[in-house]
Amino acid sequence: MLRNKSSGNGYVRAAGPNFGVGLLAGATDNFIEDNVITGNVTGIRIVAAAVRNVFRGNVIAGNPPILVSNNVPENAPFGFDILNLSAAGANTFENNTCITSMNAPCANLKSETDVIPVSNSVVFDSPRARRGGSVTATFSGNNLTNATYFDVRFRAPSANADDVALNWQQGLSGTHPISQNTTLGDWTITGVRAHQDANDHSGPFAPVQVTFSVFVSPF
Amino acid sequence: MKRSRVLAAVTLVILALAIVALARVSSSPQASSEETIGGTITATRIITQNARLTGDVTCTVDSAPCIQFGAPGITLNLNGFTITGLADPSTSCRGSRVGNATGTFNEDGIAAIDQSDITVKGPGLVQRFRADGITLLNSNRSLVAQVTASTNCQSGILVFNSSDAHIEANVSVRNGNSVFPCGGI
Repeated sequence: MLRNKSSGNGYVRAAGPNFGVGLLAGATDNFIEDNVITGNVTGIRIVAAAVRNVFRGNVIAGNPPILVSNNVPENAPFGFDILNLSAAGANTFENNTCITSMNAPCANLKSETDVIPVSNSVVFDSPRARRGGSVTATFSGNNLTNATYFDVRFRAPSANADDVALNWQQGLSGTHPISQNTTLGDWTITGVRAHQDANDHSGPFAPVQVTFSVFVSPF
Repeated sequence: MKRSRVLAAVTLVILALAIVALARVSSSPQASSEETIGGTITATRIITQNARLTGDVTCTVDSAPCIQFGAPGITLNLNGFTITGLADPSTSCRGSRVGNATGTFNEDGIAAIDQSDITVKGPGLVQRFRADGITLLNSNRSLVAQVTASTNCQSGILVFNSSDAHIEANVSVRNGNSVFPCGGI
């Protein structure tokens, strides 16, 4: 299927929806490319037995129309731009523009730079922490989630150079124990780096200057 | 003497070429025969050679295709015209459908069943059929291009149990029913 337009098709069905483009049982080895599929009760419907099909560069949006979403709530389980009921990896999806999908990726509508996680601030729940205690750090910035990893660049007490702790924290907020052999004094975080891939430490550190002190509690 | 021999040889060659050219002209294929379709169709029109619409077509065929391919390797050229079936212009079949799931008795606009290498060529509109606008059933290597399928009671274009179909640059809108899994393409 190449460069077709399919719009405004279908009725809501309890047994499964109609569609703009349907890959039904036995649909194999098809290329669905550069089509525009809008305003259908379901955009592309791919049944479980449809395999080895390639979906590339399609624009699939507005499925279903807002009127159907609001007035026909029974369509909600099927109301996607792409409804993929096949097994993961059974079909290939490349660079399709869509907004809602089930088991299929949509190409980013934002520019890539907008979705890179960036952290430019970290705060501690307390400026001081005793040996044997803990400190909670909270990062903030843009495009951060609880899956985001944070590297920190820090200066240990009396050190002459910074050091780096990779994947020091995952998630916006985390508690870090202060062991009994932690060096006493001021620990300063001088930079933070947020990243989505645990193994990707290629980005730059954003400069920060946050200090907490480790002390010995007399109690 | 030698010059006259050369002249004779050249003349012979030219003569031979002229004969060959004349033979090719006289045996050049006639414009391949092509049937024309237009007006009202009351029983399934089975085409066995290339066909071209010469005007809009109104189909009153009940529970069977309007135009059906009866031979492989041929083309139906819609030529910019419209084929219209019996469904309601605004509500199609009100969510229902006519025909069965095999396609054999479906009230399709255009049907290719057990064929190969057929072409449906637009531009052209296939609308208001109480089954599919265009059905390709058990038919391989088909091409449907630049056709608009609208307000049909099943799919605009259905490709079923067929391989190597090329469905290209078509527009499919307002097709479907609440009984059967179907839709645009």
